[in-house]
Amino acid sequence: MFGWHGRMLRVNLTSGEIREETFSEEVASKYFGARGLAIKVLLDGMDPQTDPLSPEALLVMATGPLTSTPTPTGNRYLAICKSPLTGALAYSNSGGVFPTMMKRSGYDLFVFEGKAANPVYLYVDERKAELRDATHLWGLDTHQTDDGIRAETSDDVSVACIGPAGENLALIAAIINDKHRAAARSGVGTVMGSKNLKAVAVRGDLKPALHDDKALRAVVREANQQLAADIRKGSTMRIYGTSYVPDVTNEAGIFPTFNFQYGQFEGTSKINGPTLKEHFLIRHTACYGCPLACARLTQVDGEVWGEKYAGQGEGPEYETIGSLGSACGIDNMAAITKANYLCNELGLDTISAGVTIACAMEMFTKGILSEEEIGRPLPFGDADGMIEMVKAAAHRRGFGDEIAQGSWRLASKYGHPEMSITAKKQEFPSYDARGLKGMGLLYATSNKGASHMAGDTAYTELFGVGKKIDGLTYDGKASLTKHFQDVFTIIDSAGLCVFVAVRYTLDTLNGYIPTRVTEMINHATGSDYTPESLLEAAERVYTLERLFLTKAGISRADDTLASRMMEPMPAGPIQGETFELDRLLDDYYVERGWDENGIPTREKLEALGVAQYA
Amino acid sequence: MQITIRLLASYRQYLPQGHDAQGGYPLDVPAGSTVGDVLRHLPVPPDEPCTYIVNGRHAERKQALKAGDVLSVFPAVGGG
Repeated sequence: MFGWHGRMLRVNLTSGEIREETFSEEVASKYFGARGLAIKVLLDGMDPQTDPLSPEALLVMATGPLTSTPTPTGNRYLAICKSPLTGALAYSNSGGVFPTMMKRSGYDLFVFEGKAANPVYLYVDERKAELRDATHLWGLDTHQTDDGIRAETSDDVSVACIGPAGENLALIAAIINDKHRAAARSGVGTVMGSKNLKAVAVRGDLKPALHDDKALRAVVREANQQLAADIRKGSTMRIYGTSYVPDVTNEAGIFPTFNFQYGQFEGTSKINGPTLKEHFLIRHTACYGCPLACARLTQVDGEVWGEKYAGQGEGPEYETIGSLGSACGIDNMAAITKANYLCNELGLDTISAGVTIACAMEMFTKGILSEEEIGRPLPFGDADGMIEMVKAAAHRRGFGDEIAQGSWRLASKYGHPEMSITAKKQEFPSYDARGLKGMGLLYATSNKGASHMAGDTAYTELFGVGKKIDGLTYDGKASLTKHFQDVFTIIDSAGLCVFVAVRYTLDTLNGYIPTRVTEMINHATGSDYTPESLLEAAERVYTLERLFLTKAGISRADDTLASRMMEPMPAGPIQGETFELDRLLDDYYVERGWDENGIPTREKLEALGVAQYA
Repeated sequence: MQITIRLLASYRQYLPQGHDAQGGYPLDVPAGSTVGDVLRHLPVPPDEPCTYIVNGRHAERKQALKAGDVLSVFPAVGGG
């Protein structure tokens, strides 16, 4: 078997039993990649109606066939489970060093089941796996946990862990690896906490054999040469990372402002890339083996910005700037950066934390929440209030307990669900759907709730990579979103990072066709995919994921958007624009071969060769 | 006629001295100029794919500009 070890580690946390399981080349090919194998494990091993925080729920950590290969950014893993936030799936993706070290520990997947009686962590060193007591680590933040595990194992381990947020079962808890990288969304850290699993620590040098290493390296060289040429010309991603985006979304009137009430923020120039670069950047950094290096090591100098904001870490990325910044009406970059550090240390999703705090700010501003209920005033623009809410949410302290549940539960509890900017109860990323119809359809139909990482059509609807199309039109968006969801399934499943994969492994000029990535996968695994058959494999994965949602009770009624998106944007370039979801949903289901309720048909499952799961 | 040019993201480095990207800078162009006409004369790398919007909205290269329009230009990068 090439590109894969063909091994997964199944860890029963209740009994403490750890066993190796193998999977065949045929299974790895049919259920393609990290998400394909994971959804097979979930459908085979748990009832989709299971309480996601119960011992019966499974948690999968999965790498792809290109994880730990020389491919650019071939260094991603996903945490996959049923989401306690949404009730749908969670598949949260992260880079850093951990994914490569996980693969090199000798396994493609880890599958966790049950619940440990006491806190534990899994330590895997080249196929020697053991559960170790983590009682002494419980309560520590992610940085302390990382340092603690390294000190008692080996300095070359890589650690993925939860912080207090996951331990306390905040529904917006992340899994943080290598201190600064997050599998952030949908409460994957909450599921880890529910299992009393504090961390996973991995090391090793076991690499799967590659089918044609020489051919793979030749294709990688082509991609890297293209990437290097862009960097020489002054790559935006290298100069600013994703922090360049506020200027663009603000210009297009879709930068979330005051909890998505508006699409342009007066303070944008104070929280954009140049501000980050001029005042906070130490240097750019890279995930393992990544030639792009879009991450930012930053520092907030307490003497300049105030000791309460002082710190050092990575970020903020665009999504964090939008969620903890403009959505909360905050133009204080030092405070946003500090809140980002805190989210990483405490183990919180910056998007859901920020947009939930923005929701609370709107409720406070409109008199729905009182100072007494919150324990302090919480108007838009209150940077210190935002930071206090981040800390309180992770510890579920005081009003923080409400923030920890996400905005849908918060706003619904007080009778104002319209103030929750969510799809399937998960907070929007920082693109107002009214300005990007494909993106809105993505939020509504994604198997993981609102997420840009599930098929980011902004690449073509806003940024014009390959071809620029109008974000405001409805024509063709059903097929566009479906295609992007499938393409992003390929990228996720392969173990690649979206940022490099979209621009350097797809043919973006001719419709985002997975050309180079297909070659990479074939050279790594010995498969004979064509771009078309790889897209079909992705569609199989996506449909099986949807089937999991169907079995969990999710249907068309849940494929919705925050009601605010149906109201006219009040100002800016897209003033008056609404989102008419019904204009897209029927066509989208037809594109997918699902019925009018969004349920995969038997014919479709048969055509994809997975009718046994019907 | 006069329009406003805004150079965003890494194109900020090509801004004429004394202007910031938020406000952009004014540019006199012949009446009837299209987006494509103006793009050819901007101080951004000609061999790099760039994206442009007019008054915050999608625009085509052949679209005629009007006095007072804001043409915003940024590299076609994406991601975030």
